[in-house]
Amino acid sequence: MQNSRRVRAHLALTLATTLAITCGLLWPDGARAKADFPQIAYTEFDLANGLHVILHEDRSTPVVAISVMYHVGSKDERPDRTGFAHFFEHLLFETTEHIEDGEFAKLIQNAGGTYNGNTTPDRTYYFEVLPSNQLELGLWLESERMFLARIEEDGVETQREVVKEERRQRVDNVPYGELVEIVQDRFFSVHPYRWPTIGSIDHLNAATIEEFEAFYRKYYVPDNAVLTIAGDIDPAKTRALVEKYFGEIARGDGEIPRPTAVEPPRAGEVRETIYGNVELPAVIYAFPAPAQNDPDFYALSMMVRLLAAGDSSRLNKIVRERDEQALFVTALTIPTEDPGVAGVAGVTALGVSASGLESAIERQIERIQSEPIDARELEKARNQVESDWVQQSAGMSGIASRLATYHMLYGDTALVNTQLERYLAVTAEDIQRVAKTYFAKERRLTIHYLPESRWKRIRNGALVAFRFVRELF
Amino acid sequence: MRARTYFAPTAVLAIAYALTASGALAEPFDRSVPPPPGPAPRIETGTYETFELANGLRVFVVEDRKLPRVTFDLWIDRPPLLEGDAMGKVEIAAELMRRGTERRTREQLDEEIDFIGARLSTGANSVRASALTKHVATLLDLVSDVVLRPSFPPEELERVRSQLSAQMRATSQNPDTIAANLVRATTYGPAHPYGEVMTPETLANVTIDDCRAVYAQFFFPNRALLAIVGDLSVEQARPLVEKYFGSWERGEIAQPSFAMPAAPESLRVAIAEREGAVQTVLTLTHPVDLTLASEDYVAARVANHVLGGGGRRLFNNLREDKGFTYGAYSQLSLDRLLGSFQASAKVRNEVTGPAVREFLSELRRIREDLVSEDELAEAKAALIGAYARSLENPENISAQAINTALYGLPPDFYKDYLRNVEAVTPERVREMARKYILPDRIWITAVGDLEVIERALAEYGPALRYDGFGRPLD
Repeated sequence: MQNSRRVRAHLALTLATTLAITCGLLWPDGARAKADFPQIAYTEFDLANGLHVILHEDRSTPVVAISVMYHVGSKDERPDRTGFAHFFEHLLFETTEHIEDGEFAKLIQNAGGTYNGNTTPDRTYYFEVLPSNQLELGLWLESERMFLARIEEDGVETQREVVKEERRQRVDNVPYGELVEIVQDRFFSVHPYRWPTIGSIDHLNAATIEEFEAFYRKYYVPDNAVLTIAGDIDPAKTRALVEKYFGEIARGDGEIPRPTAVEPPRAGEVRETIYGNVELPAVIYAFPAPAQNDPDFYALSMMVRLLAAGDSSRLNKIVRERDEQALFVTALTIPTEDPGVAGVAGVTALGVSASGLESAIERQIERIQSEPIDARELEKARNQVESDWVQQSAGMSGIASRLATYHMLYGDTALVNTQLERYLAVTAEDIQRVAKTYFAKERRLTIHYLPESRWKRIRNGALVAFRFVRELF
Repeated sequence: MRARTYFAPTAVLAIAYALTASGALAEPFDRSVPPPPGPAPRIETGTYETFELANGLRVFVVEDRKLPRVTFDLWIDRPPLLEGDAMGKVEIAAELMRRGTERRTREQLDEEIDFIGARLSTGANSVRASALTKHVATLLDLVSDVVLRPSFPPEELERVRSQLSAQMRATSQNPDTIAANLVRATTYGPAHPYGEVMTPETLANVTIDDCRAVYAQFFFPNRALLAIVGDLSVEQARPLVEKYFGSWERGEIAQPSFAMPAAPESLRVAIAEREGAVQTVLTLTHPVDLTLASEDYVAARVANHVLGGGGRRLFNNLREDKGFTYGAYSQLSLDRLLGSFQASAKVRNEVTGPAVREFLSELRRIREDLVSEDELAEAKAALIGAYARSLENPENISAQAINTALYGLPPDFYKDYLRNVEAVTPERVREMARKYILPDRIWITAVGDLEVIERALAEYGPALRYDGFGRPLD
């Protein structure tokens, strides 16, 4: 019986931990006590130049994740220079004052580390994971990137080609690959979320070195960045090292203007039919969504779970499995700093038309708007949130990214431990209310994406051949 | 003790910060050179516990209390099966296990799995499930139901069949799918199970009896390995495993043997069409007579990394130098039977020919010239670092245990791994390249615009044309 005793002791202890952490919190009516989730301990501070620093110590494996998030994304770009933010994510692995062309990545790899970067409409993120004895190397690299990058014609030339290939690989050569761009373009009329993050190759071709340099000077400054270090570190020593490498970097030239455009509400449903090189029709509903920090965002996320999280969710259970209308169907919210877009998308089953799938999906949206939500179904969504929450707390690189995101885009690092409560506090009434407001028919954009006809395909083939010939001569 | 070990550091930190922050001024230093590393940290191979049930089920437990979650990975140690006219039946049988048991309908399974926020998926050789610790008993009840008592409902077969045929249609224009099929067909050929591809015709042939037979043929505890990773000790795991898997009955699996697929006698070209393609998906591939248990394995892995690891020769040449592609890599994938060598990139149509020339020249170079000590040291550092990082995820520790058992590795394989990587010499890299990278006996496979490809690859001889399912057209 020793075993069960141990289990009980373990549970009691973790429960005590939970109480200690959440002590003083009032649970909203209907919510239940949180499970025994370990908290992510961290410390944060600002350097004199405005660089925000967050440290998380975890000594269990001798690795350290070092990341810098810059508050610049595609929404900060000029409409005639789209793709800059993402292009920098390529350029800034090239050359700095003290790092020769191509050496940046090599230094990380040769130290046994890994690296990557990613860009969204809201921010650009760089990280490396290194053996913990290479912490200083990582700090030096990131300080060079923030401070001493050199933008040269050679690097620009090569990376422009690489980005063109990235675009072909992700968008042009993949069935349904262009859909995200189509939705952005049709859904937003004034907000800079209307253009794709990867941007326009024409804009990148037209850009001058001076324009790239100006972008760098404006956005790649310490007071527009957060440095996060997670893993096998000594926080006091790490802080001193951060001072050493980043302390000398000058602040930016002043306030960075942020996009102020507010998307006007749609007057009525907008519908469009588009043809692409695909075999099965797809249906997309795009709805307005609140900003990620808005209380309604949590309710909308829970609603989307009821629709599409897991095989027993409404769309999967009824539309895909029971009625066999869809090969694939999903619903999602995309967290964005400014109000953005939520959506439902599906690919039809064989022999089902786009209209057939659309009405099957629409029925499920109407149900969630009009029929009371079962308590067990809400409980299920809460259990799923809890489980996902724990799963995403693993790994230093994931923790670093979450800490940076909560600080920069939510303005509250503590959410790394408390955001779960916001999801769990959502009630059935909240879900129904946001279903009615945000998923209202008159506010949606509806796209039918259909297999293009044979003649159209031949015409496209001719176009490709023409382009090929043009590039040859 | 969790509470204390978790939170005490924060208080200490706060004090430490207060002390250092006051007078710390950055010393001047030489920014022009990379800072040297500190003393190398010890890389400790993770530990696990193991036990075996009376019915032969081998269990590996990696206790990791960091998060309140547990993952179960069940592996079936079975030989590959030539599926022939009913190709797809193994995958479908696995999907059906998750779609009905003697105790639960598909809808009930879906509902119960989702209700506890768990994941449970079935594959041809494996069942994988995870949940928060508080739901472990419920989860194991579901897993054992799926593994011990699948009911193979005929109506679910029809549902899966129609979903798979829709999926085949939907992905029929996906260049990656076409390329994967082409690579299987050329590398291994239709006489080997690894070379088989499911087509609409073979999918139509699969019967519910085929699926039952696949299950009845392979799912035995004495041929299964169960890895348990997470917030559970071996003492907690043992009675649970007994309870949920103790009644599973032993059986014997026949061991068919297959002729080792041979690399082509000379360089060959195989192509398949993707209408309106703006890129060519290039894969150079041949089978390799090498297994994980081979003495050459570690050295061959180092050689492959020099050639086609992240940021190595292929990447530097085709992406960083030429801008042909978003990425170029090579890989040596091995299992217990055999392996394959593959080098691949997606390149824009116009550079299809030049890209193949660069691939072949890099493949030849690593066989001809000795790699420099520096380049080799860099590759080793990258592999060693990757190994150290992998230990962050406790599931990789159980994967080591499973690999050791499944692939017949020497018992100290992982303990010796770092030392064996360090011991590889430039001569050994070249020896491995000469033995396992064969640029004159390789398939050049290309998927994209046929006219573009045929013109670009004409110098390598007549191209064999295949359809999207890896079937020869001529």
